[in-house]
Amino acid sequence: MTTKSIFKSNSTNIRALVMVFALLAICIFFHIATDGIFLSAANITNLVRQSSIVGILAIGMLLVIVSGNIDLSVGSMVGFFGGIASIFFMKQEISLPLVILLTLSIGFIIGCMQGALTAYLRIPAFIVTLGGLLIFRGSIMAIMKGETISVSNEFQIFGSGFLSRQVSIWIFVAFILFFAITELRKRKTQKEFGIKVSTVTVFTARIISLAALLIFFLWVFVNPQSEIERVPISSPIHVPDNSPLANKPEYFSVNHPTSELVNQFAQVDDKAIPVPVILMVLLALLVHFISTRTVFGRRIFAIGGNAEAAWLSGINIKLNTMLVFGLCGLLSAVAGIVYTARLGSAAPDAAAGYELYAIAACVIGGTSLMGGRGTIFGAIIGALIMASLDSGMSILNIEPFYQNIIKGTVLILAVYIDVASKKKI
Amino acid sequence: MSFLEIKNISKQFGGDYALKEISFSLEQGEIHAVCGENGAGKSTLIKILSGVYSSGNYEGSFFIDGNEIHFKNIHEAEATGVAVIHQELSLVKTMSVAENIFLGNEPSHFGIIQQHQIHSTSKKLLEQVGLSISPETEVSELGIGEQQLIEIAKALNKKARLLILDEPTTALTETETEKLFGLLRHLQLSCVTVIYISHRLKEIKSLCNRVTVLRDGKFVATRSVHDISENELIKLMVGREITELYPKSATRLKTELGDGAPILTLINYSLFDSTGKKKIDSLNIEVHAGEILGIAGLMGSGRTELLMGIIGALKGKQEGEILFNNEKVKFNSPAEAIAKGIALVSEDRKRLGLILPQNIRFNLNLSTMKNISSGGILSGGKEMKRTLEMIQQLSVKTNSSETEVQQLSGGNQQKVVIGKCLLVNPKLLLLDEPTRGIDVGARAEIYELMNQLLQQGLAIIMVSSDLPEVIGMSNRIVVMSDGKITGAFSSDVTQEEIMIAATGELIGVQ
Repeated sequence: MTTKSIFKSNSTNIRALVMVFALLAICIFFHIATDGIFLSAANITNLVRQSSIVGILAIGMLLVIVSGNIDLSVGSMVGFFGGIASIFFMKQEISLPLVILLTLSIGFIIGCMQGALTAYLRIPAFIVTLGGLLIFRGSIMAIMKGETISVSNEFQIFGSGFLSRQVSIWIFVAFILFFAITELRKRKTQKEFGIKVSTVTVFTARIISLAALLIFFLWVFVNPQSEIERVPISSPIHVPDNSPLANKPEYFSVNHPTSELVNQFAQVDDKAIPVPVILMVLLALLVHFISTRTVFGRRIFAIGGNAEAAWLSGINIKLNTMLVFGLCGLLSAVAGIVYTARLGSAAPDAAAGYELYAIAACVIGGTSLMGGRGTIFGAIIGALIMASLDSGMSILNIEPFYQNIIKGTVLILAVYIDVASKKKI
Repeated sequence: MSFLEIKNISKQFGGDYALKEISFSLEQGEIHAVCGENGAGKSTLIKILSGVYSSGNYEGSFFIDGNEIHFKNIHEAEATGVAVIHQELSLVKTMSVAENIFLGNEPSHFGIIQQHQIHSTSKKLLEQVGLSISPETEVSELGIGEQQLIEIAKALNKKARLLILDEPTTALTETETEKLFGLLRHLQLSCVTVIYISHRLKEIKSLCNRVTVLRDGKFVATRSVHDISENELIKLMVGREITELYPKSATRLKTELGDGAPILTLINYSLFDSTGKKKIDSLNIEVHAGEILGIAGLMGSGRTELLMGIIGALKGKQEGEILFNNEKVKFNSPAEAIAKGIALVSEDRKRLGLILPQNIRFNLNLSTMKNISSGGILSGGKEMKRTLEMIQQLSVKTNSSETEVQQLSGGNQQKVVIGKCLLVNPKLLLLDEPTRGIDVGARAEIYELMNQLLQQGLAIIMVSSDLPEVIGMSNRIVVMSDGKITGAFSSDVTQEEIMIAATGELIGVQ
């Protein structure tokens, strides 16, 4: 679902292909093992929704790891930002757009602060963010005093909402057009410089397979059988009247069986793309673009690849390192909002341990912990692999502790395969 | 009977021959040079002889003392008495000299290391290699030359009979090199056989008994060093004649373009390192448009620090004035220097010049992303155009701009680093050891390029340890020693004169 960078090297393509096949193999295995439950429309919908939070975190984590650093605080940040967003919205009664703006800004600033400690004061990122892990978790516990704060339907859209079918179709059409135009432009540039371009057949096949993939997902998302998991029931819901979203129910639908207000939003038979999934995809595309086509992205890869050489080439290491942590903080804030929205409430212990899932997703997706190497596409596939394992093993009723053992093994195996394949080159 | 006999050794990598039917032999106690351009197969040969490629992974065979050898791994090779001193030294910097000498080979009783034995044996070995340091010294406190001698001590401790040295003098000063040569000649007397791999033909002539030339993985010739001149040796290596390594146009330029406008002037320029130690002491230097100022000097004389200091890459305090285009400047970071038009090709391209896991296009445009982007977004078309033009201008040998730079040969890597600097459109180019570890063909191309740049009105400061290069390419030569200028010459200087200036001060100080 992600666009290709303008000129991509072959080794990257092969690695991406291997990861996709690994994901497919896992899916097929679970599909057989679960007697056809795993690849049912309902389960796929669940699975991609589940992977969206780790996916969003992995997008931010990827850039941090590529820059040669690590951020251990993202799980605590998710809890922290989810908590303060729910307080802003439910207790302070700030309007939703402002809540989001505030939360994201604080996320960016806090991320930058951690980045500044790493870049300017030269405290290792491992230590700064390990401290952050404790500080943010402790802070949100202090602020919320151990309480759980439920959020209203309007807020829950970000976690449990769906786009309507019509909007979904338009989005998918836009995706295909966007992909086709990007490919065409790439071909044009390549021709201009006498680089071998793929044949028209291959080009057409790519567009068609993307379209097929999107139609498949559309079918999955709109399939009437796709019963959506129940979100925890929250306390009476409060929607500020002045919220712009409150007046535009036709764009969103929320699955919230107990609420009176739901009928206002929900047209149960008009649900298509889950909101957190589209959020993850859009963020992935955006950050993919940043990492491959912008000066900032280039600098991050240069810094992670060889910081000294990057500095001598005129790159401001400190500023860019700080910003990459800022971006990770910002994405943690997005994940915090989605997480709270999905559960319908903010709890002080929310998303504990998620930093490890985000790191694992990046690493499974072929990101080098030494820095300088990694792709957004890989990180998302990594997140999907983690979610598939979760989902498949849960359907099979495998005990949680065995699940952890298996996930840990897969992580180590993935890195081994990566290391082993690099040795041969 | 020869000590080492190599018979029809071949090694393939995915269908390509890195070595093809190599045969030659070494007599016991000889110092035998192996030379050839990069990619000639020298490293592959070392790896076979030292057990890195185990028996069965190559074709052909080799014999030591008449016995056919089948090494399964490096340890077997070491046990047989084959030791390699690599270009990149493999000492553990945080451990002591004695611990390093016995690393992996510690004498122990029930797992408890015999400190006394380690200490006393190390002391003897250090004396043998001519080092007067305590075995308890931490390796990180030692210079490269001393570390190399410790590597040799380590090899001797393993009773090495065949010592393979891979470009050992690259990082050594003249004195350190002499010391090393003395030691090797001494070891020769005790029947240690040496394979000496080097680009430096002068060293081969002065140190070795015979020389074997490899080219493109094939054996070319084995000659006694007395029967072959440097030019003949170069001819064997490249398979074509380079009548004049330093292009003729240089001599012409020296007279015609030597007195352009001053580009860079240093006035009483001093530089301190972060601990406050003076690295550069009141230097006065002027470089004009269209000329090359060569800077000679031994390692540690402050040459590299001078270049790094000018572009603001060193943290320490600076004194004095830098005038660039008659304007007073002080750079706090390389970024500021690049913005003004000063670009540095650093001495260590892998560590300081390149982002190794990235491709040629990425590396070439690293310093100039502003010029190919708007609003922070890169233009693929503009970037590709510049990239392909630069690849063509420098004739970088590659199939594609998307090739990772770590897959390129040393010469082509260096061209990428230079290309990155040229894209800055510099007025002043600082070159630190621009041809280190580069084959003769690529060197000639880089010299040619330098001449072209001079014609475009650039000024170049070139630091080099290769004296023929400094003399052949520079319009004027400054010799540094201990942070001071100890000699200033025109290009008709002799190597001896430069060497005297480079060491004179040191002798005076000690």
